[in-house]
Amino acid sequence: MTATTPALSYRDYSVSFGSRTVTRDVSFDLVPGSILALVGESGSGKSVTALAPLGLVPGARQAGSVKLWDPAGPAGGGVGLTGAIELVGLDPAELRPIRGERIGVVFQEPMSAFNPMFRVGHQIAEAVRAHAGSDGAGGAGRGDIGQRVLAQLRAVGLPDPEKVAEAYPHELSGGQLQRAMIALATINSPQVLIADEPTTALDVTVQTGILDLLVDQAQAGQAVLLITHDMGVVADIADRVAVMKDGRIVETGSVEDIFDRPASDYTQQLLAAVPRLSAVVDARAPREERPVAPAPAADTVPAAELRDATVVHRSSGRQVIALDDVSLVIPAGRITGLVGESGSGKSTIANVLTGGQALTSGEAFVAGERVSTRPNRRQRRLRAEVGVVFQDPRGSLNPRRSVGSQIAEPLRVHTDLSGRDIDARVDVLLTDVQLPTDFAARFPHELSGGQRQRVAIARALALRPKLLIADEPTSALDVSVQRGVLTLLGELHASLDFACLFISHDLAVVEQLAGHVVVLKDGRVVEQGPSLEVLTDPAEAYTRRLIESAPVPDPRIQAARRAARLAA
Amino acid sequence: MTAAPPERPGRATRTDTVWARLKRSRPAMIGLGLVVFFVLLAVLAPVFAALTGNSPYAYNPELLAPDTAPAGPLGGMSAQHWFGVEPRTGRDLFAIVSYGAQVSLLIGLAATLVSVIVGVAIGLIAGFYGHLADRLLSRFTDIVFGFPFLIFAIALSATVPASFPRPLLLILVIGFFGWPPVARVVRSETLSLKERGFVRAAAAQGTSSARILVREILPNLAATIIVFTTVSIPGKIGAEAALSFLGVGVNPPTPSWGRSISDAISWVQVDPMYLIFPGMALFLVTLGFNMFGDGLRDALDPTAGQGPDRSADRSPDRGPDTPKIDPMSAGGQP
Repeated sequence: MTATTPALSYRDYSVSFGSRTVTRDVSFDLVPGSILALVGESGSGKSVTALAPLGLVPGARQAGSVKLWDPAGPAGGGVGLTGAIELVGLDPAELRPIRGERIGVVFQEPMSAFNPMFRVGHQIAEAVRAHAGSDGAGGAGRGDIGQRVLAQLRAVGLPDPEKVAEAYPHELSGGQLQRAMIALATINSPQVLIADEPTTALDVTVQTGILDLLVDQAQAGQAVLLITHDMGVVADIADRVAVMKDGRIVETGSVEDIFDRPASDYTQQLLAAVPRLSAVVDARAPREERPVAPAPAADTVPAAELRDATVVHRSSGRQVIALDDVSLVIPAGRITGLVGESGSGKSTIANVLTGGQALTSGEAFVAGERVSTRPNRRQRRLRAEVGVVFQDPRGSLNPRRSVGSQIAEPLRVHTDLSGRDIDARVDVLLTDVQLPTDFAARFPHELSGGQRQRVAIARALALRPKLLIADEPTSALDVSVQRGVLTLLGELHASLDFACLFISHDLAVVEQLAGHVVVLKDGRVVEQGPSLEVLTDPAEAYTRRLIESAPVPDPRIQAARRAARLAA
Repeated sequence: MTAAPPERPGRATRTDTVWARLKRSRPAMIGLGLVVFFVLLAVLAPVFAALTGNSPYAYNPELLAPDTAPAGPLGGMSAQHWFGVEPRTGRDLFAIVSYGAQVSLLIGLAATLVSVIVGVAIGLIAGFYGHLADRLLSRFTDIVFGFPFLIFAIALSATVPASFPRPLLLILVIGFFGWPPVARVVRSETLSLKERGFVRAAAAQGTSSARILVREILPNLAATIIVFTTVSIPGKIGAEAALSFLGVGVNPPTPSWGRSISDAISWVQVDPMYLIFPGMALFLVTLGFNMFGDGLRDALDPTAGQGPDRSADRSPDRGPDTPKIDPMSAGGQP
């Protein structure tokens, strides 16, 4: 990058809150026409680095320098320093004309980024009007702005811009809203576009389109700063990568360098922890450690079963079909993966099997017994056969009770063990999930997310259940933590011999753990079979699309896929 | 039930931090001081009466001027009668205020207890069981909320036989009309708590509903309930004073701030002290409870952080949010 001047350059930039320094000496350049990915795990200071210079992080004290360069200025003239604005130290009034006009921002959660009370088109027009005065185009009429909004919505790939502009945010899907958000952020043609985890809340098939759009923006000459924790996304669209850990940049380099020759240990660990779909990474032979289990003897009762299960939610006259005539069997003693995008009915199945959701029609069985939402005493006792782990590590434990008493709770409900026996069992369970036994006295807020999920697993396994239902147990965790929890689940399964329904949107995670996989879409089973078969050689187009949309942490594969998709 | 000894240390540190945060808040400590002062005043009223020899029922006509106003300046204040004496009867005003504190605090606290117990029970059942139970109980809550409390209370006091103990009647009436706000807040918190993972996990593992309510949900409502209780006490004390002011409170000659204030209005030109002392007492005790309740809410608010672990746990949406309560409407009383 010889001739290109940066659009935004960070030099020794640090942010602190009170006495706590969250980022230290961050330096990198954003170059027009390219995408820089800022990668790191939660709490590494990515978002703060990107948003604090814009004054969007209340209470942040900044040091160092962030310069916004004039696009027209120095490139030819050689008057290198004249066209730069120092963002650190600007007061809010001076930052306002920069935000939105010269630096656009796209946030993670498109639903909450729009005001639910106004039409989307109106909110985008607002962005134009807010900056109309400053660039002399103040006389732009209402109609002009409307036309500009529609053109912009069309440019971000929304096929029916009139309808989108007239819609309220709740009437649009997450993907449409995120496109509209990008339209809003770029309507004033800013030099720099900051995208803070723009696809984290979206399904993979939607994510692909948004990432394509970001590539388009970069090709149109914008400097894009992409904040993400997903190495697959990085490999897909980034040109350069800055890896962040504990507030410092540990490594910066081109995307090829980072993936092929990671210099720092941390980058290597991060890459190693990302689960990969073998179908895409390489067509290895079936791994021997997961043999296609011998067909269960005909007389064994399946751990759980759904027969023609249908769930219909009725709300104010409208019907939403959450599960549509689903039949599936979770065999005893094996891990069954359940994959699908949001709204496909994955969690509904978990709720049905745990008795939290009644079936509209059909039947559900756990360990040969019919599941009831209003259990009598005997049916409640049967629920000891089921353990559950939910997604949110924050909500999965009672904040007011100690870890030990929560793990002991199922034992107290279902067994007559003495206090000492229960304590001993809690110690064993904590050891099983690889936590020190003195954690029993701790409270959930003293634990990290991964530790909480381990405690939730220990609680789920307290009664040695025949079936463990894990509903996205790792999707709120960082990849390195996720790897530990997945390994643990695999080991526990091998030693304790329970059946497991493992629900995830991440195909690679499911492939790693499950021998059998069920693919759901819109409440229907699309495909099921041994995971090696389904995930390497899918019979259904939808499964193939899922596999192809999931970004792989390898820039070459991603480039090839992108080329193939654009050619198609 | 087996006791869980490991819960002790954690809980102790938690209360320590709440207390430490409370101590740092000056308004909360002033409020607590006022509350403690009035509780002591009420508890020690007989002691003061024994010390000074002044009973709130003893007439002292010799201390009155011919126009039945207290003789002497400032309502007849003296070393013997610290707050002066009541016009027309010459009863000791300090004894009336201190015994009145007994009545006010007893009725205020007991009525709050009644309304919190009823409100928590109804809110928990409506929120947890949902469906028909929720619909019935929520409508019932709305009806009680909309009921004209004052008119009903006045009518009731006219119809209930005089043999029924007055303080008990007031406790029941004020307490019964005070629970709807508690029920609404508890219901909405229960609704969100029951979707949390640990409640669903407990249900999925076969824990009975009653046990889930007591062991999983109620502990998470504790902070809300404590704060709501503290903040609604002054409303209840005010309601008792209002009823006594209107002449349907405790029966004379039992001392009551509300009735004293009512009586004092016709004397305010002649003997302002007669209005000032019971009025100040009512003002200060409600102020104290409100300031203390506000401070307690801030101290218990989980978003204010929970010790040194905050950096690891940056998202503050842990635990139930303690709701903002308007003290004027707390208790549903006017």
